[in-house]
Amino acid sequence: MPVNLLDIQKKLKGFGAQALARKEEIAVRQKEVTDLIQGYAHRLDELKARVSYAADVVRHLRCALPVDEPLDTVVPKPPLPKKFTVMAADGSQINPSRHAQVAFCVINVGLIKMVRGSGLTPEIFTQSQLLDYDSLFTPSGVLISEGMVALKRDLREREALADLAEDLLLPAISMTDGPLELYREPQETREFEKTLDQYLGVLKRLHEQGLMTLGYVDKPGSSLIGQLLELVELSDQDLEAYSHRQRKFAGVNDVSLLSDLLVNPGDRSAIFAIHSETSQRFKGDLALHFFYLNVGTPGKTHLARVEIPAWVACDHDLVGVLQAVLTEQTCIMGSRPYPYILHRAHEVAVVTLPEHQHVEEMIVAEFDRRGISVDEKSNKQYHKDLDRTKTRYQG
Amino acid sequence: MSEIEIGRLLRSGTTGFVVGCKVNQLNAPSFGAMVRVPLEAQYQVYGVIYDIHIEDDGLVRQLITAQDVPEEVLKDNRENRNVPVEIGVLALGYEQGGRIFHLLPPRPPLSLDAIFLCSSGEVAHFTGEGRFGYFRHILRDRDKPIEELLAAHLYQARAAQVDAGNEAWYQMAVGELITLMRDDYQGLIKTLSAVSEI
Repeated sequence: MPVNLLDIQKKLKGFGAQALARKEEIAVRQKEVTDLIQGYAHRLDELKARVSYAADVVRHLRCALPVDEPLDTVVPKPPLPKKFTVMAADGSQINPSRHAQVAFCVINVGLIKMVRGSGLTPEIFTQSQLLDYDSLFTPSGVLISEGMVALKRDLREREALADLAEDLLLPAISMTDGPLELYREPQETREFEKTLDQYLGVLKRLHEQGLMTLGYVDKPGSSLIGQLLELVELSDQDLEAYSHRQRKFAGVNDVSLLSDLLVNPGDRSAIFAIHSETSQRFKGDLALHFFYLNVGTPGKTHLARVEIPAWVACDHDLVGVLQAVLTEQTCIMGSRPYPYILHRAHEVAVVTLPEHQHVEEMIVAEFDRRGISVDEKSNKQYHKDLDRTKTRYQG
Repeated sequence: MSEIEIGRLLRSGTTGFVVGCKVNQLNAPSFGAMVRVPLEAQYQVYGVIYDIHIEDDGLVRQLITAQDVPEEVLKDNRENRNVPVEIGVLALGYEQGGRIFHLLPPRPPLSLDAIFLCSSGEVAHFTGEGRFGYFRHILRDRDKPIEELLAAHLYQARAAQVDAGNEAWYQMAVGELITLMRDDYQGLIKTLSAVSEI
């Protein structure tokens, strides 16, 4: 049954009006936050003290924490090093499904290593991991969630980079898509803690190997800076009742705040630390930081959020290298800036449907060989897989 | 002399086939060059390259919009990415039991069969047999750039025949073409015009 476009059409007028009204509300709030950025640009100690106080009274507090640069800092792009290594890893997965014939999970990681300035062809690697059968089930006996698989994939991406980090030409930068910070699903706390410990171990290895690591967030929707400035606007009493679900500056995201500041391609914002429950586990050299980078073209600003560990954030020379390299990588993709090397890692990692089916057939054959009974696909999956192309009477 | 493999077969039919190769294999084959596909002992199919086709994809189209594309990125796209070059080959004949036939092959090559560039000696051997019967297969297909293909082929075949000591081959080949195209005046003029560029 197709979408009933008449039903949609009837709602369009109201929908557009709501969107306009919301945009106008947000514009008013945005002006307030922009004024606060100017007002607090150099009052970093006050802001740090406020975050410290709020952390004690607000549950699940998540905001930016200034480090040592004024809030309205703009750092232009430094020159690109003549020679450097840039690497990326990206993962894709086959999630276990109760609708399939057998339960299985595959994590596929694509890696690419490019030595810029060498004139050499980049190296490509693929690491495919069939998860142990026992690890597919939670202690209560149900299949692990897609969120848990995503967590394992994030870990594998960083492990793969660390495995490849021998004898690198320095400076060397590695990147993955998305934040460096990990997110958990509430029901899988124990497994999350275990994975997080392994993850922190890998980040430590990358530091020891001198391989800078970053998480690249395209089209970020976060409002970490807005949430920081919200804290100074609230009284102590209001702060105790503060919830990230009812925010004073709701809808004002960091990109809209900084777009008028970071006007030139390659400009970066001040570096901030991330204050959140999870980020508290990233201590010392691994403490999570971020900045915004204009990866757009002249007259067309496009901001990305770049997450880095403290050991990179504290060394402005390293940040400069990273800034120049990221700007070049995004520039390679022309009118739609995104790091070339990350896109290539994604291309290498993608598991296609025929590959998915082939792996499933291999597992079913192994089960048959061992005399293990194999379920049928669920009827729901069977019908989904039916060939939907119509045939025509040819007689 | 070492064999030069230019790629492997993607799809085929009795009258021709399409070969896929990586971009870094592309320095060997050229328009009008002769190729062969060994299929089994004492049997191989001969053909001539009439088209070299380079596919694009979303990433290549996006890279076009960039101001500068670093050398490493060019190499990555040409050598690592799965964007094959497609080479169209027109079947000209076959060799069986050491004998050359200027007839369409009894069986076409199969998927992933390796395709080799013909050596000068092989070109001279194939083109020197019989009375240019393989010209029929080229002249039959009006959808292809026949005039240019014939000129490119004659240029390469003449060099092979001269190497083999057969200086008269070229004149005989042009004479045969004039005979075969006598009822197609416009086509003949275009062909002679192209051949005169040699």
